[in-house]
Amino acid sequence: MLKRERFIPALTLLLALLIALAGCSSGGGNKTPAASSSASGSASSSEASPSASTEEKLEQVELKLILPGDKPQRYDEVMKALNERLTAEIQATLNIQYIPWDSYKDQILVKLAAGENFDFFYHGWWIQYAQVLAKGGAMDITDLFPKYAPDLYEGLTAEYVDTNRYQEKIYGIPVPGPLEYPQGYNFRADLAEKYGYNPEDFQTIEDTIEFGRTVMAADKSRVMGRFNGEYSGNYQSVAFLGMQREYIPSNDFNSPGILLNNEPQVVNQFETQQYRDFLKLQSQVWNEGLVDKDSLSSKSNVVTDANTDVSVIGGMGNPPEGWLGDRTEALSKIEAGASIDFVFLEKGTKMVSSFKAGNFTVISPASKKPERVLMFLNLLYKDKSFRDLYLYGVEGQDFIAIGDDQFKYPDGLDKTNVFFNEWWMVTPWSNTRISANATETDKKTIAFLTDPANFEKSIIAGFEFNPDAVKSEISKVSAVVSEYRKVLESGSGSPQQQDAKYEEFIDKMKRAGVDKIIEEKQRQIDEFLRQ
Amino acid sequence: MVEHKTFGFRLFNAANYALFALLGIVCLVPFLIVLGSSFETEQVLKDNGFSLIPQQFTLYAYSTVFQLNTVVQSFLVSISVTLIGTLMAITVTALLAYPLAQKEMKGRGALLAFVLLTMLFNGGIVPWYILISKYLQLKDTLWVLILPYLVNPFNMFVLKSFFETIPKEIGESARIDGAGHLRTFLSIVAPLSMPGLATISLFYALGYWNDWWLSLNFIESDRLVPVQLLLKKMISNLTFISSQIDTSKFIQVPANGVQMATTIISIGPIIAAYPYIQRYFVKGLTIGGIKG
Repeated sequence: MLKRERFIPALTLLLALLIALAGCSSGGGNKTPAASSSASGSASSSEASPSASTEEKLEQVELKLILPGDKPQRYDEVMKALNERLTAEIQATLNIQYIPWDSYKDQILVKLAAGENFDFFYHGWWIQYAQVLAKGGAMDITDLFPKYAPDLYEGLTAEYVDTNRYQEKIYGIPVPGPLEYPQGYNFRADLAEKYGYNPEDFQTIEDTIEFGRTVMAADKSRVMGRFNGEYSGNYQSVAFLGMQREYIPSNDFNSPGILLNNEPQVVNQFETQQYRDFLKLQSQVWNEGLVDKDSLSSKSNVVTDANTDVSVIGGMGNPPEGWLGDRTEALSKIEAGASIDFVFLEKGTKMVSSFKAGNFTVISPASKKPERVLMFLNLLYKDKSFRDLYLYGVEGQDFIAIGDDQFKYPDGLDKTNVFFNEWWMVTPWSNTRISANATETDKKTIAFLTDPANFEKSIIAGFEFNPDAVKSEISKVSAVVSEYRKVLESGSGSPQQQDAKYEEFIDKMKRAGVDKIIEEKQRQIDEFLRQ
Repeated sequence: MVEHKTFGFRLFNAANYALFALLGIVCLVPFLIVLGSSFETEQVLKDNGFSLIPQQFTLYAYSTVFQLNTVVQSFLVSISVTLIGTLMAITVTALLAYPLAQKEMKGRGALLAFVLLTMLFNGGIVPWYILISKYLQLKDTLWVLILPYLVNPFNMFVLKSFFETIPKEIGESARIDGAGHLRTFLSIVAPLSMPGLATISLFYALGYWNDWWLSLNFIESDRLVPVQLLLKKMISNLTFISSQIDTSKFIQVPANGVQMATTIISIGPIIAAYPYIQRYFVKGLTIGGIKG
């Protein structure tokens, strides 16, 4: 073992270097992922050639779009057709990368921080758009937007765009959709008819439970409802039904601290009497056997249940947006004659709304061709046949247009084997087609959800909660909330067990620092209102 | 040897067999339920839940999965990554572990500390992402699925400890016969370390086979998507959507049966590797290697 010892360290060093690669990086400070991307500045630099007129020949570019979801069927064929159009119109091609839903939020942040080269992406408040804005992950397009996407800008109206400014600047392009979601009851219309119920008979939660009891008494194969622990909106549909409620951040049902009745008083929704009453109700229906008990452990989800489950009589939820007919069709394939309808249960209440968009198309700060992205979005907005191609694929092969605003699938095909993109990531709802199967109820609810007259302006419209001061509390509390909510809200166990569990829940939440979060929300709102 | 005949010993033996048979069943039954349910029709799954033996046998779930036209390609990717990756990883890890197991090597302590450091600290995901995608330009290549996992420090330490259990004298006797370090390693140490190497290979193979994280981060083109990511995408997209927003305007859903089928499909090939590797899990090869 004598002479040759020297080569070993050299070799080992080489190998050790390989580890450095494997083990992420050489170590040391693990705390600075700071977003390297600088949001400002890029706007002016890329604007060097001020010719807004698209007449002169532009150089051919590729636009890269990142969207959440799964790559649609027939992507290559449709994109080929789309890119031909796009090349002819604005000398560009489009390339879409799809990232799975549950990783989307984090992947976008990593890509932005790494300054990766992509042009635009989808984001929304419900996946913490605020974080993207705070980290400078969106390009300032205040000047570019009206110039390069004039039709879109006018269509959205300057007023609407201004409502959606962030720190006085335009970052993401707002995508108008439903304003808010007043809750209602989705139910089996055929069963209602059979047992002598009219849609008008459903005025309260009690009415719907009574309906469930009646049907279940006559037909053992039915269940009144199915609890879905995978869906975070359960309590919000029922506990505060008929009250104006505002979640902070909006649509985050796990974050304690909401406003009720449009008053600037932050309350912990989990400590309210309404929430307790809701739990009691859940416990009552569970123990009465009205809810399918398997559903606590079932991993099936709202969508599966809605389209495949013929045993369930009804459920609380968001109003339909054109899918009632499709759902009826899906169910009637399993059980002949099955049909679905919907009634609002909050008729007397005007929901509050900030009248802000929930979804945005955002241009990446690293993009070198923001004008071209805007031109693309403008084209998508103003050119119906191009929009149809982008959203629904090739006419005749992926969809059949019916009139101006409806579509159906070609014979023998359905959603699973044709191309489609989501409208709410790129273009206003008013601009899209709905299923030709859509029912009268569908059309009524769509009209209701988009009419500002049906909503009342929130007193904190324009307010955005900044979580920085209570970050650690938020992460601790949200762990507690998601741990307890499912069990509590399922209503399983005896009422005494539920009470004990509830006490435990509140206690743990307090110890995790929930009061600090409430205080911080209140403080920020007070400050916002003073201005 | 008389004890073998005693009643007590027999009882003990019987109890042992019973206990381990029970443990075996406990491990096996859930798997069989998954297997059985994957052949069940969706409606029966909904009505009666999972069961060992399908009431209405169907291949629908499997045909749904294999309808994904990239599934064969994805299998090829997964298999090549697992094979190439495991081979390379085991080579590199062994070549690192062997010198570090030699107590007389210069700078051994510092190197060990360096390896250990990567177990305790890392630069976080963003620098890692930048390193791989920007500096090494590995994005969207097959190598990005292999290189980052070449050396796992934990596996390296396991192997190093294993090498250290081989008596020094065996190596020394080889040296006396004129073998160099490399020769000693290849001809003497490696064959004696088969159990250790096999274990580590299994760890690496499992790691490569089950990984979706690298492909999620760095793979864009469909050609390079491994099976795990493909299946993960399929299932996760849907459960996530429904947990956030209540709407059915989204696509159809992988029914329960499909989830079961994907589970079976994704564990299939790797489970086949176990019997082959298992025969190396024999201990005590070196016992009696040294005499006198």
